[in-house]
Amino acid sequence: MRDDEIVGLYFARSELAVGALQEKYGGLLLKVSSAILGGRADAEECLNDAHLAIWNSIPPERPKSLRAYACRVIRNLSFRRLEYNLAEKRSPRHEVPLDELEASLSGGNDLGVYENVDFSVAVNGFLEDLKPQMRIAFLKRYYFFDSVAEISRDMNISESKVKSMLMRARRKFICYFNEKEDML
Amino acid sequence: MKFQFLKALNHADEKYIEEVLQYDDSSRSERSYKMRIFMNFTAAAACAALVLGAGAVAFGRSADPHTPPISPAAENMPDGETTEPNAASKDSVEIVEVEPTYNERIASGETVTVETHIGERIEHQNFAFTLKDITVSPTFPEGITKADIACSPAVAAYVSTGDANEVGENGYTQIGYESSHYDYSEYAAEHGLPPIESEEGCGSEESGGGRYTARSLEVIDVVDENGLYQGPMDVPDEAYKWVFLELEIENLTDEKQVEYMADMELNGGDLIEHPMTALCITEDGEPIIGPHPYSFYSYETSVSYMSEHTDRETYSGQAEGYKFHNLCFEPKETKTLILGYSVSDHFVYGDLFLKLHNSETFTMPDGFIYLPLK
Repeated sequence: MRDDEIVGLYFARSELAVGALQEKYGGLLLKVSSAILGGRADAEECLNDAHLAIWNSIPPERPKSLRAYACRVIRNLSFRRLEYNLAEKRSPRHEVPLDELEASLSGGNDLGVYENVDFSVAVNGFLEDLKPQMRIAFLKRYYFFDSVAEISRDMNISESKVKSMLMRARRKFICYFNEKEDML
Repeated sequence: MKFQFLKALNHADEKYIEEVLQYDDSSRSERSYKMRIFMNFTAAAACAALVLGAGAVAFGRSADPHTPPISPAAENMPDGETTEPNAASKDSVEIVEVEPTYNERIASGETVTVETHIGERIEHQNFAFTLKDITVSPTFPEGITKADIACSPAVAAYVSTGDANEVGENGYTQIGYESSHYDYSEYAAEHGLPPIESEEGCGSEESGGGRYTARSLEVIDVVDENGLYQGPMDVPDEAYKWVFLELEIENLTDEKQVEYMADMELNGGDLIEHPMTALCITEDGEPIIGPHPYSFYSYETSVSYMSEHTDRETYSGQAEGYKFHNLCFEPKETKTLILGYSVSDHFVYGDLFLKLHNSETFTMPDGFIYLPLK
């Protein structure tokens, strides 16, 4: 079923929409959530929450890209769930397995200090400035949590090239935010 | 900070997310396609093995009627039932693809457009060509001609865009390759390379019973103030900065009549986004890269080691390296090599490695020169 047809089902308030979305993108959404939460049980709960959230938001929302919209929803919910878990110590501390971020971002400011920066504008401005290949690698790694090996395979480039592209992108990210803050 | 960073990406516009997902779609279908071809190959190979095996059995039996059956299961088959060689054998094994750089799927007879990876002209130097034939070979065939493609799972695939005998007229464009890559530290350890901090220029080294000397090594900038190439060879391109290295090697004292092979490696700094392309190499004025594109291959080297161990920021990226084989030297022979390569404006510096090794022993490196290009 095409995405616009699924969205049509949502607008028609047909519960078939949920099944169709699950069948088409359930795996993708579960993967994203699992990467954030580190456990399948939590991720599955999040996936259910995401289905409910999407059901409640479409309509009135009519996403241009259903799967991108769904990814954003489950990402939001998963991070919220992770914060909750960590705050309540309900689960063993889970770290999103992106070790390279520690080193490269430690030199930057805490994003909380960018009080004046509109995150939406800044993030999208940053992404717009990246070259397509770097942007895709960057988002695959930090939005979809693909491994470096997966990115290397998917993009037909060496792992070392992926790593260096990601390193550059991270640096650009920090620089971009610093510049935005300075401009304000 | 990591958490905030990841959360911040939730602000990413859906068009960027969709871009990734679409890329994944095409990548997935590409892999599926390759797998199908691979399976066809496998099926055909299995079929061939079965046929050969059956032939061997039949031959064995005719030669020795007392030879016990190799396959009891086959012997026990009911009358009229045969060992179907393989249903897949009816499928022709069709190689319709080379390793693509931009997910191009190429069929014989098809006209395709391939983006070149040459400096800053990546965006607008597409060209079209029609494949006349596609062959599979562990090495590139001799006399590769215009628009031929050699394809091998293990070897690079190249497309010649111009007359193969005319070096410099478009040269050879690599559209995909299998690369080996490794950390520079490992590479250096394996090959006895000097530390990267070395500022050694030219020099001489012992080599397998002889000695060679790089007598002069000069970087010649042959671009005028308008960026137009002003050098001695008929090479295209006004868009790049062309740099020529003149290298004279003399006095190989090895008495043994063996070839000396030179490996020249160019390792550059900021090359990921601005790759450097070596197009021309001449030996005493005669092009030696061109008719034999298989003597020219590239590999990738991770130089992240350098960024970790030095403060040379520009080393933080990935290097493209080029090796040139088939540069043969007779003992006591003096030759001048000119290597021309293009670099983009963003290119900061590169390093030239020259190694000579004895083709008989093939030990590497017998000699080594490291030249930092500033």
